[in-house]
Amino acid sequence: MAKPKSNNEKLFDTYIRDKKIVVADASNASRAGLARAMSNMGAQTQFMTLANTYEVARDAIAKHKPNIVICDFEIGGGRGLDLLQQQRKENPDSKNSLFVLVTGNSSQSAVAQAAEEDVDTFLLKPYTIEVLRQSIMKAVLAKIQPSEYMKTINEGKAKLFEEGKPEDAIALFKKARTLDKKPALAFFYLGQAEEIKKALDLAEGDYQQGLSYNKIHYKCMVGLFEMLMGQKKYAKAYDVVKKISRYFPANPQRLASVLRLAIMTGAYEDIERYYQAFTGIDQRDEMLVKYVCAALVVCGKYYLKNSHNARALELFEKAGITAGGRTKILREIITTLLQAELPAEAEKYLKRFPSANQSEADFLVCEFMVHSAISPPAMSVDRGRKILAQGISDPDLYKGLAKVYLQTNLKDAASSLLDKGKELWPNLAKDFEALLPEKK
Amino acid sequence: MSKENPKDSDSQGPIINPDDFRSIVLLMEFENLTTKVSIRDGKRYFGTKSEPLKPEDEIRFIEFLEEDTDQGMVIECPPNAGSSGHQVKIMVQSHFRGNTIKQEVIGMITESESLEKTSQRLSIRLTQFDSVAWANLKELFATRQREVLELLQSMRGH
Repeated sequence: MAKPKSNNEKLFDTYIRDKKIVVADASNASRAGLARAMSNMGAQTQFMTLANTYEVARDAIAKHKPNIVICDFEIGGGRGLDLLQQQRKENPDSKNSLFVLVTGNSSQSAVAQAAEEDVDTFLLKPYTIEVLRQSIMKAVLAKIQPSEYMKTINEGKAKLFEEGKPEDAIALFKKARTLDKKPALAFFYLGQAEEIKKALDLAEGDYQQGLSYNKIHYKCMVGLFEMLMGQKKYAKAYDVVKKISRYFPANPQRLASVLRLAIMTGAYEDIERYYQAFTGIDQRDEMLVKYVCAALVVCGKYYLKNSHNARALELFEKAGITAGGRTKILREIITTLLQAELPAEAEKYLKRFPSANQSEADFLVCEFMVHSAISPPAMSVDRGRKILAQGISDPDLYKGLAKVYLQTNLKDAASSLLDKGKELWPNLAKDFEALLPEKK
Repeated sequence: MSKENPKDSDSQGPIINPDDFRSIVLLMEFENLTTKVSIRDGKRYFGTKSEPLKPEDEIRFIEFLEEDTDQGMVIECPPNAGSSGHQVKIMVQSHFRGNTIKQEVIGMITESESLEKTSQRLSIRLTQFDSVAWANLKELFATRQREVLELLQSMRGH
């Protein structure tokens, strides 16, 4: 005889039977298995859509506005978490929508990114059906039977973010404070409401009160961090983001903030430590690579400015290697070294440009600037004219060639080029004017 | 001192931890003992012949099967890997946080489903396996799943 169903199971059955579901996974077997599992849990197959690519999933969400989206962390052509944004747009009533990640990516960083986006649950492959069922059921029950505390917070969030009524929201969050022994989340949302009202001192107080219940409450720390950034209190923000990073796993955006703040607060030694840790990361996000390179270059500039050339050159070397052929970073290094009157060092970085990029503006302009610094001016004039004749339009090329014209007494050619530069790049007009022969 | 209120001196770890970006690595090899077809190292072997497989044709471990006292698994593999009733041998190696679990299991395909002609979904009931090693593999994923859900709850704040 079958075991009688519990109340929770009955509630879940009622919930699931009319819900529209999109299952998005590049793996055929995974898609089929998840669809079968949902069907066995009571979902109707006619309400289920399966998607094998990001594009198909995105179109399915737009068409069907599903209540439930189950998807992998990466799905052919895109990030699963981007589908969450779309689901929220199509189905703003969060009480009735569920987003479930089912993925083989078990890294802390993946979980951190999912948590930032507030997914409802995160399941690993290979799973057992029982874990899948229990997790989805728990996530559903949390939605349809929230605690009084969460219900009040959700009402407050609706007032704040959907209706634009911060005073009403504040009243609800204050009520929520009395409904839990450790109401850190209520204080976080109070802080958010006060920020919207521009009452920043009150907001800071709320975040700190939340942290008094839970010293490492993630949302309160992030709220405080973002507020301090908005107030340009970078040293305090840096302390907060370092604490977040120590207690919670990295996600690429958070790391980018850490690097930016290290630069802004002059914590250059920290940057070198972060670089060492970065070299241990196997799979590197494009944004993270760019931020690490930028941080190393800025660090190098600082050491150049303070006449620690050897240290600076070490850092540029690291940036050059990490750049992996990214031309903008290489150009920045070369420009910096030329400004520091180190053309021989700058020349070394020309070799780091991939051959596929050597007919493009970044390489040609860099090559011109380096050779202008080390070759006779007459040779540089020819070189510069050839690049212009190829149709390359670049402010550094114009400025560099104008300087070389002036060195070879071709004042009219220099004036003409600088005037054209002012027309093409009006935001750099002062730079071009400064080079005009009349001003010298 | 509770987890939510660590001492100030308890800085959990470095600011950038490369381990945060590492996932459980699962390597698998498949051999159909009935047809002598095997799949390993990105190739399909039949007898002395082999053909390369596309990267998307790797073997994927989808699900642990548990039915009463039987243990099993659901995998995805390239098409024509096997049919119901075939005996198969599978090597599973997991690597995470410096620990490696490697084992060979033998089982019987109980269900085979062809999916869009580009892959197969095979349900396999294990018939010969090291129960301790298999339990350790299951526990690796179960533990990690618990950690993931705790971290998610902690970061979401509820």
